[in-house]
Amino acid sequence: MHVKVKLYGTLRRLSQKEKPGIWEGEIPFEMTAMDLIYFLGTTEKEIANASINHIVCPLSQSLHEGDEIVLVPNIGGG
Amino acid sequence: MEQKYDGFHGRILRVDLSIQKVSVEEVDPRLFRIYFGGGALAMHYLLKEIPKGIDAFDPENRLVFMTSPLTGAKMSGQGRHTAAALSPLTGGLADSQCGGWWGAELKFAGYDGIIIHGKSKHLVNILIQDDKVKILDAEPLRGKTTGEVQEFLKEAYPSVRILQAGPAGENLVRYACVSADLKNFHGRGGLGAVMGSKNLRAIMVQGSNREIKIANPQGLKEIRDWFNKNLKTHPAISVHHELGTSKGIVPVSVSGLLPTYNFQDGSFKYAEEISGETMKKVLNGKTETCYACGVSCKRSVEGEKGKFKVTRQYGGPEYESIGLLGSNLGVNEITAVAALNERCNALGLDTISTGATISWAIECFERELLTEEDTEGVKLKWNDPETYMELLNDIAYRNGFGELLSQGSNGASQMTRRGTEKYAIHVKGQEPPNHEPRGKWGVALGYAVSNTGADHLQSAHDPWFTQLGDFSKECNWIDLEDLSPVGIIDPLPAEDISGAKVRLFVYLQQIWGFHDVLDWCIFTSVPEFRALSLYQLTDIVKHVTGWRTSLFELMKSGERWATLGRAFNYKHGFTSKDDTLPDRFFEPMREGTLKGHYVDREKLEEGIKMYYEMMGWNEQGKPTRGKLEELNIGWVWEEIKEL
Ligand code: SF4
Repeated sequence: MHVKVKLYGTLRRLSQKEKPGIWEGEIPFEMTAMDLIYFLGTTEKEIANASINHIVCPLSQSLHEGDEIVLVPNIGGG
Repeated sequence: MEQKYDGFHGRILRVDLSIQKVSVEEVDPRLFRIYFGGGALAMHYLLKEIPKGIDAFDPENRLVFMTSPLTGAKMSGQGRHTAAALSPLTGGLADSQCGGWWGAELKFAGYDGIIIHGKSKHLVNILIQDDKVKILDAEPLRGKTTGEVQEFLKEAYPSVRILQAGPAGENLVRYACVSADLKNFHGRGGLGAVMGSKNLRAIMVQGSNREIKIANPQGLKEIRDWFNKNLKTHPAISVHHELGTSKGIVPVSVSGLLPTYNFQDGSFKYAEEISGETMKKVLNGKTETCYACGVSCKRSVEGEKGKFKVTRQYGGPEYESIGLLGSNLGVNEITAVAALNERCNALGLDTISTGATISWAIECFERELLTEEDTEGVKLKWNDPETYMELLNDIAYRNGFGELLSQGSNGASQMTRRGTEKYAIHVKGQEPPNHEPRGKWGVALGYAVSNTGADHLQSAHDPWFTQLGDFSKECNWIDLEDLSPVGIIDPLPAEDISGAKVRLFVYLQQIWGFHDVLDWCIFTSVPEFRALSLYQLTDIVKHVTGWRTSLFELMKSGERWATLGRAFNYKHGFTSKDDTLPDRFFEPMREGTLKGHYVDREKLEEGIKMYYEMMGWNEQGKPTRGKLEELNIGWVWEEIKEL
């Protein structure tokens, strides 16, 4: 199953080299947003919010083919 | 002039513009030990010297520029300085820190601060070159943009650092800012208008003694080397370096905390289009830095789209400006946002209050509380950057509808009435920055009790403290672990205002406060990043000053800063009634991730009461005599006891 993940803040370190802020590729079927976070190499501790196709969702939500997932950490401004 | 003490000179320059007199005041070094510097030392003078009941534009108002013993030390985050005065926007305290290079240059010239009073008969500049201080005619510069003035002055004095008010300051726009070399700002509180009211356009500084004498250079070098080595691999700081504060736009929008459409919503559909990531791509974003800082997080952008063009002359927009000139006005294109930011900088307007005053007007126009008769024919709507661009000029030069807007959203709504007051989103007259408090109640408390009006640099951004972190990972923004040295150990929900949250707030306010009095950039340390720890911060102060200081004393200096600000406001007529939020924040959010969330009014009021108790203030928010004595500022009691 193919998904696109947009990564912000410190999570940018998980992006693919040629695409800053993006991870795009195949993931196993039946993954939730929480599974994806571990799949990418971090834990829920670093995540403030996730959205799937522009709608903020709980981490227990299942992913589907073609989903665009946004992961954001806790972040302040300046 | 040889530096007398480790870290500071003990010399303050006094300029009386009414009689064009300049003098140098030797300062008791004990004052630096008590106050450290920055906002607290500035308030020492403001409290003593500004008479009760005067207007901010009265020549008797003082405009104080202050550094700290750390300013100019060779360490990241030490290029900042403070400006403070009676604010024309709030009628209370204006206390604002500014980055860049000017503060360090003032130290190199042999001064810790400048106190300006009186009013010149015509527009002047002050030129400081070590012991040579001159007051020069600036009338030919009247009305010119900050960029034009910078170029003109740099041609005559190529090596000076320049602090200046823009045309907005000259014209007494209540939220006019002060810019430092065009790219750094005392944004808030209308300090540019105080400069303008004194007929002072610019302060140029050049110092020849370029080394600050410190007590333990080797000790400081060790921390500097550690910091410089680690910042390259520190994930949070490397993102901050790459994108600056603008990194926050999308995460904050997804989290439902991005002010949108005059604080009606918390998520912006086009956040990505105005994000730091997009700015980097579309406007060829590069980084710049402040004095001696390895983090290098300032923006520099250039580009063109349609009618909008931006150059690198004014740097580039920060997170706060992108929000208030972007999402909060519905503007969905980054070049337009950057162009509005650049125009504000050229005119000397605070981007936050400017954006929020325009968004107030748009909402009122939409609700038919303002008509074309009020706006002098301007049809107001969201996402109309071309109209906003024209309004900026009208505000700065106080033409047409700009005259009303030059008063700020509170002032303008008080003049208009007809229910427009409800949509003026402000605390004590100052508009909030780019942080929605309905999802973080520590920020709500901070907005309400801040002595300078709504201000996000007071205390807890709650989401950081909702879980126990993984300290070993060293890759996060700060969290609870970083606060464990002061006894904060339990996670708390973001929408909470319990006793435990107020305690977290009080301690964090002390931490933010000692950054303020030391003129220290928060982006190098707790409270913003897990970079320099509270212990390292303490060691840096020891190495620079040679004082046998401690984290306890640093925390106390932050508490003293908050209490001095409180006493200043109390003297100028503020009471607990002013410690509140606009109604909007007590109402459910209209759209976004946190749709329906609101601040619980009763709980906030309870939290404010508890905050006073923890601070040693009475029910009116007035510092008690015992607390003032405990903070070693017993003299302040004389200023407020009769009130
Ligand atoms: S971290 Fe950024 S804002 Fe702070 S001193 Fe360094 S360059 Fe300036």
